Amino acid sequence: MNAVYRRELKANLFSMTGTIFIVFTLVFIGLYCAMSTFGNMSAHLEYAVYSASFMSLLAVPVLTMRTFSEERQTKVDQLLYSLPLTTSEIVLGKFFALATIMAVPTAVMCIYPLIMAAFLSAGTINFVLIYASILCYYILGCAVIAICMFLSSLTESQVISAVVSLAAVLLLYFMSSLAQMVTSSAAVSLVVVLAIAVAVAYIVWVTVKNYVIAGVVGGVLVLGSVITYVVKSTLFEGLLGKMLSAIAIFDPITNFVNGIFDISTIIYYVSVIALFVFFTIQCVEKRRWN
Amino acid sequence: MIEVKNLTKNYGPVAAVKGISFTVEKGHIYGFLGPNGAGKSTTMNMITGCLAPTSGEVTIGGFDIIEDAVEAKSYIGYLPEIPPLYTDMTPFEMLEFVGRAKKIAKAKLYDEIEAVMEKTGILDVADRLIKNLSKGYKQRVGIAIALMGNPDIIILDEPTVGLDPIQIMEVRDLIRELGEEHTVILSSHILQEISAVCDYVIMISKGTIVASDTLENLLSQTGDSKKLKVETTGTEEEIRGALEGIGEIISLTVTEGEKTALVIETDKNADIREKVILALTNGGHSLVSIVEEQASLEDVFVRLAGESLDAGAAYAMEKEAEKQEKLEAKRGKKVRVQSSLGPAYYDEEYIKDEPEEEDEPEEEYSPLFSSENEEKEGDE
Repeated sequence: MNAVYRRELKANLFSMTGTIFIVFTLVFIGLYCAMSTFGNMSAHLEYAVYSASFMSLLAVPVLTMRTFSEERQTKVDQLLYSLPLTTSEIVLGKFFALATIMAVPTAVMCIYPLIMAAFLSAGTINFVLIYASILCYYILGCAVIAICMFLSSLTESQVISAVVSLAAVLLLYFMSSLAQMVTSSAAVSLVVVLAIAVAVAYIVWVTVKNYVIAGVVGGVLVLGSVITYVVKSTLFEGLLGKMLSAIAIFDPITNFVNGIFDISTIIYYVSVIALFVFFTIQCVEKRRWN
Repeated sequence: MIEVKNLTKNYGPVAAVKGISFTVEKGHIYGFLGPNGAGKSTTMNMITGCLAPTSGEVTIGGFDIIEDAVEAKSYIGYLPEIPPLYTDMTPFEMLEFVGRAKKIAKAKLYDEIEAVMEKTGILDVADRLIKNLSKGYKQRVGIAIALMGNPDIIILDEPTVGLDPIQIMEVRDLIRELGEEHTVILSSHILQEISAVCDYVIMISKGTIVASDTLENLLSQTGDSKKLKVETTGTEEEIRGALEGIGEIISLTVTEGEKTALVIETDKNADIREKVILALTNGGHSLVSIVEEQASLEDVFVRLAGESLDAGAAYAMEKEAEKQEKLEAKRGKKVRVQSSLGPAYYDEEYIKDEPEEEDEPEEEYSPLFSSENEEKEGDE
């Protein structure tokens, strides 16, 4: 893992993508911090962190686009496969290298409160609150990296990887607004749940190419949902909204900004990271079996 | 060292490798010979763990390449068809990375890098970016990568493709040198290369092994006759008359042109060159050249692969007919739809729905043995 980590870190730091990511992130963090401090005459840097989180993470697709796509295109992945490395080592090495790049602008951000403290003439700075927010921002960044890294492992083209990742980040951002807009009626939620059940069955079929297994999985899910709906339809009320807000990854950071050190948010982000790193490992592994 | 059992790989409906088995012993240079699309690279990729087989197994040094991948892979150094190089690194950095990945102890790492770079002759370019190197140097860096960690087995997939003749000679010398200490597996579609370097040959055609033996044994299988190629002057009639008296001639082909070309087939052990020269000069024909064709691997291959080619061709024809039938059915359907809509037009897109089976190996066959520097056309 160490070898992959060092190679990726170096490749990212000395290439355009890593530099663009760091510069882009720092520019937006700097702008938001400046606007919040001078524009609002406020010492609440945590709000700046919150506002900057979305804008700065828009650059993540640029950082992650080449992670797996480039190697697939240049066939360097054959080298990685033939070296005595496990797929997990390869994926984790790459992920930690990206997380380290993400740490660079975050570390710079950590200096801002200190600078502000040195020039503060009135009022106090809540260091705990600000640093907790920055910590949350960092973990959120890593979660977005994990998602985009997974998307990069799906394609050979860096452009497709970047565009799809950007769309995913935007979609996740709009998810909370979307969640408030959707209807809360139970029937609509049921339809969506059924659609998901069919989609799951289809994915199972694509993966194992076995009609029986796919049919059983789909059948159980569909039947289960319908029975649950018939027995207790209240469970389905507002379910769609809940589902959408559950994947609105940019929302939970508000807990930290508002002064709650919310462990469940951390667990949520770490779960997203673990899930997508796992998906990436599976996806890279699967390529050998095609 | 390597044991391959019933290895099969299917790409969708196309079987690239069909249940091949062989064993690789220590201390030989193995040649893996077959035309483009025969399944060489696919087999190499499966042996090195880059590709998982559809069925069958590969064990290296007693370790399964899928189950105990890390242990098995520590025995091999692999140079794929396209050298896998990070072009934004220098050869030194590249080897450093590979060394670390192969878990070479830090104290030994830099000595090893130096030794490998010296062996492959890339010390001069150690600090230049790989993207700025020539194809020849890139290939050497690829070989250097395979050598890192001093693995017992070195697998080289078409290592001389795209190199100029001098570079080809250098790479062959290097491979011979490597054969002294390592077991080398070399894949190639170039017969001369295999016969120049290898001492054991595995011939593969259409995903099956057609022969697997030492070079000498294979060369002794070239059949009972040999050929004499002669360039001379005169008409067919005159020449046939002049050569009539030579009893050893089994068959004679005459092609008239600017010069008249003869192909004389004789018994394997007969030497009739002097007789032919005498007969022709006595008949008043001037002799331009006379060459006795040496037994070559090519003959063996054409003979052996020719046999399995027929089986493959029948299968291919069957598939083709099936495809045509489906296509016809689709066209028919399309016309019906079109006629109810008004003016019919030919909808290319609709017919293209049927997945193209473009990697069918039988289309890329025998002429590939003619030229050394021929670029690979297909990819299996």
